[in-house]
Amino acid sequence: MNPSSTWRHVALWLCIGLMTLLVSACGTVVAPPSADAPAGDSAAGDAAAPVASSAGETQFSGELTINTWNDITADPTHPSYALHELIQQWAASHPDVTVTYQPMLGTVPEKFGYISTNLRSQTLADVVMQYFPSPAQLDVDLQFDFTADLDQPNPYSDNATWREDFPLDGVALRDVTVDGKTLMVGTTYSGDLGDTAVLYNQDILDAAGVTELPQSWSEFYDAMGKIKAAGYQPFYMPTTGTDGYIFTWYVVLTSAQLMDEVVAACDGQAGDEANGVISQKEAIWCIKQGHWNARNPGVVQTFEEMKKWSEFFHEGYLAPSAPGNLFAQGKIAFLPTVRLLMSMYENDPNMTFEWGSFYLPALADGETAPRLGNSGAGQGSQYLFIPQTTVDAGKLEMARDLLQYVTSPAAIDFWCSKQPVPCFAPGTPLAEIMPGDAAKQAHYRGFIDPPTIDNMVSRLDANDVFGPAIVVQETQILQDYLAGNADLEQTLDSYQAFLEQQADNVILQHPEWGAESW
Amino acid sequence: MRRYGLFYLLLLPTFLFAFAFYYYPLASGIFHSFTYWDIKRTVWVGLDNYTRLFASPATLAAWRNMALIVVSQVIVVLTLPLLGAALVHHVRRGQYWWRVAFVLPIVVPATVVVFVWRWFYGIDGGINYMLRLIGLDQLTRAWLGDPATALWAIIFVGFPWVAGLNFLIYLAALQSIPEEILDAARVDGATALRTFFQIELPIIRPQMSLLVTLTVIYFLRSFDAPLIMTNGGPGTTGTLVPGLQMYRAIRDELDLGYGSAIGTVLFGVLLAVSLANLAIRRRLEDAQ
Repeated sequence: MNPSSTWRHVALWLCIGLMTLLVSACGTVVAPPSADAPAGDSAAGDAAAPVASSAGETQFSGELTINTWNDITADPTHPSYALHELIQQWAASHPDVTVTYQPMLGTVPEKFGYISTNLRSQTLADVVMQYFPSPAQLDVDLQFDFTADLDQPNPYSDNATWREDFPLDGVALRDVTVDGKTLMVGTTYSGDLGDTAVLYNQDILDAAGVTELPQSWSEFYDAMGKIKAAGYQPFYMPTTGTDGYIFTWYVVLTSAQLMDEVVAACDGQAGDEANGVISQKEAIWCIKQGHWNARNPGVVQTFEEMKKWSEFFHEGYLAPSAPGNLFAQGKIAFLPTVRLLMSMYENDPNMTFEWGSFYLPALADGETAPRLGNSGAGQGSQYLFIPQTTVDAGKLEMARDLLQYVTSPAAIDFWCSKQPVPCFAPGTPLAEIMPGDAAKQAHYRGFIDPPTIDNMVSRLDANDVFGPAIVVQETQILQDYLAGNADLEQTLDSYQAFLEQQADNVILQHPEWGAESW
Repeated sequence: MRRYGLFYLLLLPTFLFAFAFYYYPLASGIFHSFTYWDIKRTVWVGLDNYTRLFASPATLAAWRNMALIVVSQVIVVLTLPLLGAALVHHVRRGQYWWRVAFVLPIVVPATVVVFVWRWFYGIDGGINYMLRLIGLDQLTRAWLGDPATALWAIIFVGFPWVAGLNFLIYLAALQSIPEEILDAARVDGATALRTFFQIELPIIRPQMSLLVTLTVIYFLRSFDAPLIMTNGGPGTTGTLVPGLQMYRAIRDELDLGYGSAIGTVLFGVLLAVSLANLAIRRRLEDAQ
């Protein structure tokens, strides 16, 4: 080998080595584990003493895996970290149990898709923690039924039954009960994590001449018009990407205010109870009977309202959002969000402007807009369930014991003590919840005021009936309409085909309904 | 026979893996394309999935998008990497380093490239930034959110498309041309351009054919860029391609039967393309 060839090879390998170093240097630097930090994704780290104990405490052994919605060990300021601490406490009481977390990755629809797919293929962890379950996710064959256990005492509580441990008369369990079977347990915290509200940038409102927060829908449009005229982007409304679920919320909220007649026609049908909440079965009946169809005035008005509103959506709302937070950067006047994410905004050093939250007014003047995600209205946010595979593997007792621990009254008190906003009874005035902290009151006002209970959406919407993974199709149909790719008639045709196809699929999933007789 | 028996025995694991991970899933997919299958249950539906597939406007749009992507990429593969290879081939000094420079980008995973381009196309991404820098603010837009530009934005990923495996194959092909032929052409007074078009190009035609085939097959079934950048949007069919249509049917709708039907059709088309290519190559070889 001649010398110049040798040097060329050396130089080439040096280049490759340098490229490899550069690529690997772009990765996240992971701090070495400290003695205090929980080790890896195990829960048995530096646990505090258990907040509750059971009289005849059984000692379990083995491994318990938990699918978590996100990495609940990552951020001590995140509300879910308190759940991690509770699990740590339970694990410390059972030193022969190894608890391992398996965080779910991806966007919100992808996580729901993950749960549905792995539930059916029986590859979920022993326990699953998730947010916002939809009726579409409940499967009596594949998920453990807690009903009988709920009528028995919780070993970690002094109440007569486990059901009594859940606040507000266990209203959050209503969402996860189908055909009389409760398939998940979820704790309702007053002013729950799942509350939605709209953040506002006071500096932008001042610059645009918006002197008061809108109290009516027309005032809301006026405000957005002024903001746009002043050169700012009025409303953050991504329709795809990581934050695409936000658009779904507001389609749900809008349609919930326009579909009362359809709800009335479908509630209590197909053998279900008439309770103002539309089950998946009732919704499918509703589609097959033609009550819920694309040409229903409520549906048409919903689409038209979203189209009208889109004039004020942020620039590029049809594209995936870029990394970074436009609201924190001071570019957006209004940002819809969920209380689960408030710690992120409160701790963001870029948010040096004055900001607060409010709840969007109802479409019709003088009415109260329904709440989306307020457990005071019967929708909890954080739920846990046990796949049937856990039962088959003989781990039911262990898994159930964990769930009984983290939903015990003492655990709820612990959870509440860890929240930036203390737990409170629905209807408690804001000034009593956060006395003397005007800034914090402004930040959280929209999540707490107007106080509601039994003011939830009816759940007659694609998101609840078909699930967040499938509702992406509805969003894309609306994208075509908003972008001008399709006129209203074409959009309604597409939507009708979507409703019918998905209804047919759901009927195939539930032969026990006997839908042929409808 | 005993000697060959040992060879077959050694090949057996490969055949078993091929059966388990290729042929069985293929057969299962074709079978399930005639069913409603959501993992939990399988219900025979006959041709319903195919009827739904061919009646859906999304299908036509997906194949149209894919055809545009395939044609564009074929044009690209026949031009820019060939041009790059030809230029590098005729460089006298430092050819080695030019070769390294054009081949090294292969180490970057394709998914990473797609993510980088996704940022590039953002409202405050690289492209809009450069446009604002040169005073062309009026041209800035959400490239992936505009139905008029989203598909072209995806096609444009990888620009200038010179580097990579295509370049390497072309360069190797050009370097394998006997010098005597090129010398003879020079002696006859052929210019560089004439030599390229009338001597070098015809000789490397098999490599060009191979790259066209690989490109067609790759882009017929790939959907990583539409999935990562736009999830098939904006809208229902903005950047939808059959592979993504299949993926969404399976992952989002949990309608594996319908997804299998899409996959079966895609398989049929790929098979037809492969067989056609085989026939064309045989004919070319016979002609030579």
